[in-house]
Amino acid sequence: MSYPSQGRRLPEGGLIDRGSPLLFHFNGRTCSGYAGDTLASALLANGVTLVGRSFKYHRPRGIVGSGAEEPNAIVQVGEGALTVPNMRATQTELHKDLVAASVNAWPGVSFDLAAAAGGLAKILPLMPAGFYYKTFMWPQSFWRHYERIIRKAAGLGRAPGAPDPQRRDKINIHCDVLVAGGGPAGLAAALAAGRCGARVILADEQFIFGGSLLPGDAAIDRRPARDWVGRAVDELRAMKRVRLLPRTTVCGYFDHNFLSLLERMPGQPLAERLWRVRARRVVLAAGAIERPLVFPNNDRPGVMLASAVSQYVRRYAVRPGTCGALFTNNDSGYTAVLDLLDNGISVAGVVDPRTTVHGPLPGRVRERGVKIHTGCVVTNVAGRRRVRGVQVMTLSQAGNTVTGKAATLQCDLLAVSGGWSPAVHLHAQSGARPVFDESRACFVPGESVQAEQSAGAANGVFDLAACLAEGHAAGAAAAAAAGFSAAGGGEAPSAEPAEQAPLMPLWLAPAPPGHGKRFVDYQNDTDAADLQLAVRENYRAMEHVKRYTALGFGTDQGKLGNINGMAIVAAETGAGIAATGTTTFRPPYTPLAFGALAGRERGQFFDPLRKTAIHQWHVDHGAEFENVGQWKRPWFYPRPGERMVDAVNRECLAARGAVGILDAGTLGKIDVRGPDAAEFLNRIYTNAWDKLKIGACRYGLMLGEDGMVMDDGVTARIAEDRFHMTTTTGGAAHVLAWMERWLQTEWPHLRVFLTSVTERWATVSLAGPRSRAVMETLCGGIDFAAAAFPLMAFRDGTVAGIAARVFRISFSGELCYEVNVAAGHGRALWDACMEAGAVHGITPYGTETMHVLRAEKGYIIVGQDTDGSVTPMDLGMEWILSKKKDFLGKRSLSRPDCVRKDRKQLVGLRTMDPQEVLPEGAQLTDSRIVSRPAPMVGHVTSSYYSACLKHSIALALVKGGRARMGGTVYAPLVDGRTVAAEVCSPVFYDPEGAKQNG
Amino acid sequence: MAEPQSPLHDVAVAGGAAAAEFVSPGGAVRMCELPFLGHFHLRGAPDDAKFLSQVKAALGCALPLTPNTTAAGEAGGVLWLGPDEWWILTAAGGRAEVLQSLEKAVAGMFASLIDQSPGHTVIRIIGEGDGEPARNLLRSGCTLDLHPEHFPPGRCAQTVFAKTNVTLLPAEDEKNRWRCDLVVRRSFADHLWRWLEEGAAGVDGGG
Amino acid sequence: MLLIPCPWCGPRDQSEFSYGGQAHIVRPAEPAALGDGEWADYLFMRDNPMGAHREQWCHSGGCRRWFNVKRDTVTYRILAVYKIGESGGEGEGGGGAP
Repeated sequence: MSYPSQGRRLPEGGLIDRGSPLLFHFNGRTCSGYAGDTLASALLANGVTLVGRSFKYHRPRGIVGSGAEEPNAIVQVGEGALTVPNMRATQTELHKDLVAASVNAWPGVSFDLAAAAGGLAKILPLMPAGFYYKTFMWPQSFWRHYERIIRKAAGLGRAPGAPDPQRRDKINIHCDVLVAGGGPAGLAAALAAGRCGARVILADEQFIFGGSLLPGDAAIDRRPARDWVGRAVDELRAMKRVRLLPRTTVCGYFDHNFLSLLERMPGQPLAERLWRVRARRVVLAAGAIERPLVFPNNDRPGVMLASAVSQYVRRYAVRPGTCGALFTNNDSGYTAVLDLLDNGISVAGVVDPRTTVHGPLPGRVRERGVKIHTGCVVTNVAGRRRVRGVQVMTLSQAGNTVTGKAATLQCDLLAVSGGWSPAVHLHAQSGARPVFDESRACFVPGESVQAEQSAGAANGVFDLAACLAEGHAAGAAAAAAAGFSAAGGGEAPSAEPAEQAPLMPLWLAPAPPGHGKRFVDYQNDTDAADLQLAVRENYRAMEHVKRYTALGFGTDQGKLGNINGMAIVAAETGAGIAATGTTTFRPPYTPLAFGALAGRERGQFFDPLRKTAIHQWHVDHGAEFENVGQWKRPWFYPRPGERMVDAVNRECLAARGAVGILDAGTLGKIDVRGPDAAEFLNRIYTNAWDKLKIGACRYGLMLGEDGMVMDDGVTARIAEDRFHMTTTTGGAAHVLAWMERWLQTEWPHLRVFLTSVTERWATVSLAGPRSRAVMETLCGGIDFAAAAFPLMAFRDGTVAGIAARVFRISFSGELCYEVNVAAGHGRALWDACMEAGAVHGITPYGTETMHVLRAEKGYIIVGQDTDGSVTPMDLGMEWILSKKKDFLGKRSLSRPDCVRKDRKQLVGLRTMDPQEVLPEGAQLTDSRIVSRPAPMVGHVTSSYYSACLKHSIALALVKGGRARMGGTVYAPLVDGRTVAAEVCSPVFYDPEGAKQNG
Repeated sequence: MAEPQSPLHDVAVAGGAAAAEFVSPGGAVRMCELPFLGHFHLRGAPDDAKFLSQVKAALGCALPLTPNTTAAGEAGGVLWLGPDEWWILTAAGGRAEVLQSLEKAVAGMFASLIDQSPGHTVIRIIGEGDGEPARNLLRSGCTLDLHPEHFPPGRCAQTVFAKTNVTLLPAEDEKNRWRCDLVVRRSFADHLWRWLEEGAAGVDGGG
Repeated sequence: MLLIPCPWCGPRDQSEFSYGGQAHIVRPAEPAALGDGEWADYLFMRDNPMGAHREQWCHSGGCRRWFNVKRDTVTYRILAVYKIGESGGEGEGGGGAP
């Protein structure tokens, strides 16, 4: 295989594996890199400097950083269903055949229509700060037109068009000490905590540990720092209680030391695993982010953070330019110059606003013959798609203007350093407030509010020796706080303290007017003038300025620009940086896919599917299923060629004319036991239970304390102190929890135990005039004669040789037996019933038929015919309300709102056209609508075609419904027709109950 | 009387085995159903000395009164579920006898003994090697701290596992392998089994 | 995600618990004796403090016991946990379920 040459790769050095070349594809071009590269370093090695276009002005943009802070090199990785937008090229580990494209360049990076036309700002003439508010608010209806153009021009990547084929796991894990960040402080902390015996998790977003030590030439314990990193990682790996998570970003810090970590799997960058960590202590060693400087045209490709220059040269052995320059307000930036010189890249000069520059690092730069322009700033950058040179002018005495003649430095790379901002993001997410430290000119962690401690650069400590010491101490302290002896932490690693002169805060470099935009937020094209304008328009609070100017609104959340932006606003308002404060740091630290949060909880695992003991029979016999709560219930059993309506009509007629069989195993069943069981039911149900005889059943209605119908069901008395309660399928868990709550919190003196026995029983219901015959075939020990075994009674015996409890209750209005057996015998019972019923034409029916049958009888379904705002009186069920005792919800029934005359009441509806089936949910009006809005008088709750009655039936809640019997209501339908219906009794079938009593 | 079907009967039939069983692709996680165990749900007052002593006599061990602990008697294992609530697990064989002696022990008392055997089953997870892949599989389903120091054999815990209520019972088997029994309700067993099967593939590589 | 110390099971993840609203709302002994206003007060009116708040939680995914939690609604810090019927240190007891 041939690999394209990497023209900008240095001949030696770097932490890359030159023996493992990798082909990859960027914007359609095939390039090569090495294992150990990021996409960004590989692009630079291939001479790709232009990686995107800016959001608003479509200016060409290049790689600025080398990590999470990168605002420009935002790419779409992968293809087809396996694609992710918003990936930072600087954090994307290179792998074989990686496919990536710029997201922010339509129609292409090199040729950009919007830029050719002078930027989006020319297409849409005025785009100052607040342009959305000012330009697009009126007329409001036009926004959708504007939005289409803006979205197209902006380009924020593409969501995959097909379901995610990627497996995404989530793991919940506990630890004593979580260390976020594997640089010098984090490694030292993990070592100390691990040696103390604590369970430690060390997470770092890079694919190798070491952080700032990776490009450097520092010494730790008098040996090269990279060696120390290797030894530290080896020691940690050997500790059984330490879990090392490279490629893992600590994304979020939530309440009670709960953190989420996103791990990218090696070799397959789109495969991710979410760790949900509960940590006793957290050490935040996330390092610091270098700040850029704000000067005219500071966004030109080739302007790069000084630390990123060092990373690319030393860690990745890449030449980010052929001739460099440096603009810095601090000593650390000088490292980049030395790194360039050491690798044969010339440096045209250093621009430093400080008038005296005397630290050891600048000293070494001077010794190499590089001129330092002290007391100067960069006032312009030449070049459009690549830096061609920089203009330098002298800072005035006051520091707020520039003077003198401009000098020019010829270069194609400008390293910039405005100092360092500790990565306080996780600290702030934990609920703490970072505070501004004037002496170090940065926000540092404030007082902790959770069990966390920052260490190293994340704590504003930038000297290596101090970082190591602080990391070690933090790790040992965290272990001690988690209950381990800190004595085991061993020696702290040591380094020579390095002397650095203080930086000179420079938040906005002065420049002559007209030199060009000074960008603060690259991703949102927010420039210094936008922020100044916002303040002039009296936006003072930082949160308001953010929303007005879009500062920090991008996917990078302003990691580079926010601090500069706040300082510029502070200068403009005169309030000072400390008082101006930061905007809110919100999780996640870097973007993550929704899929990572969803994990495996999608498709079949989105919610549990509960199956009855007879489920497989239904599957084998072609049932269509419907979800009832979490249960899968047979809906109907279509025969070949049958439509749903045919199957349901057939099933209904079979149950009414012969015998139907239903799997009723999903009904909730609760064992209520104890000396006070009857008293307890008296309080829970609206009717009285003391006098119910053993062996008998009763229908009960439960109300919420607000008087609204909550659940219903039949309850049987098994013994003096024992009841078998049934609930609706969907309400079972709620009813048990509700009753438990009353018992535990309000009535602990009642001696009652409640136990769910739903799962214990399989229930088969036989309904229809031939059901008695089937039962008599199946069991010998029970007398099924009407007088011996009346409605609302139960008998114990055997059915098909299986121990069973048979209830004679009816939800269908037919003669009906509900047979309960141990769940494991449910299938055998069903098979026996089918066999014994064959000669009687036994017909399995599903929930749809069950609904039709009960609606024909006017039996409600709680949750369908009621909606939490319906009282028993609304349903015409005053007969079930005991006058003698109190019960939950009783007092509410006399509240003024519950006795209003115009409340909606349950009625039946018969459409004038008997074949017309009203849609459930249809609104009802008093007359055909002549003008809108029309007053609504009710709605349809249940509606079916009754094959038995040969006309449609419906149940409805209608205002003052019972006084409207014989009257007409109208249902205006979506298709434009209006259907007239007569208000009637909700009982359509066998109102005397002869069938079910027979 | 016909033979009963276990909650994972259909999984067993599909796999051509007597009981449901599964080995993850990399072999790190083994799984099987322990069907037809005795599952007895006992409620009673923990301060009722007569209740405690009669149950102790029937079981051969005292009811554990410390939360989330277990006790082992001749009849089987007893799990603490709540301050007045226990779960008794017995071998499939002696199920009827244990139930009978327990029924006798609590007769006439304010107590509740319910044979929940038909409504529950146990899925056993066995971790090969250091057990970490198996524990990671369980960690992906619940938020308990499963580290053997924090959740050693002899403990039990009820939790929400893959969106269902499950009781976990860790142990170490005769080959020193870490294992954990999951007591699950019948109607959720199939969901839980499929969830574990799919999840096992993802933890094989360790982690 | 809170870490809630169940009085029986110890600290467990919030996902195992269900929330029951304000604690120490006692059901009136004789509801029929109350006026509409008094009943509505019991039924609907709840405190919404900024700071310490007493709440009922149930370890529904665990031991299924209800208990009381004193929690700071600003910091979410859990200040005390105590069983139903206990005072929680400040002389309050009793139940309350709706």
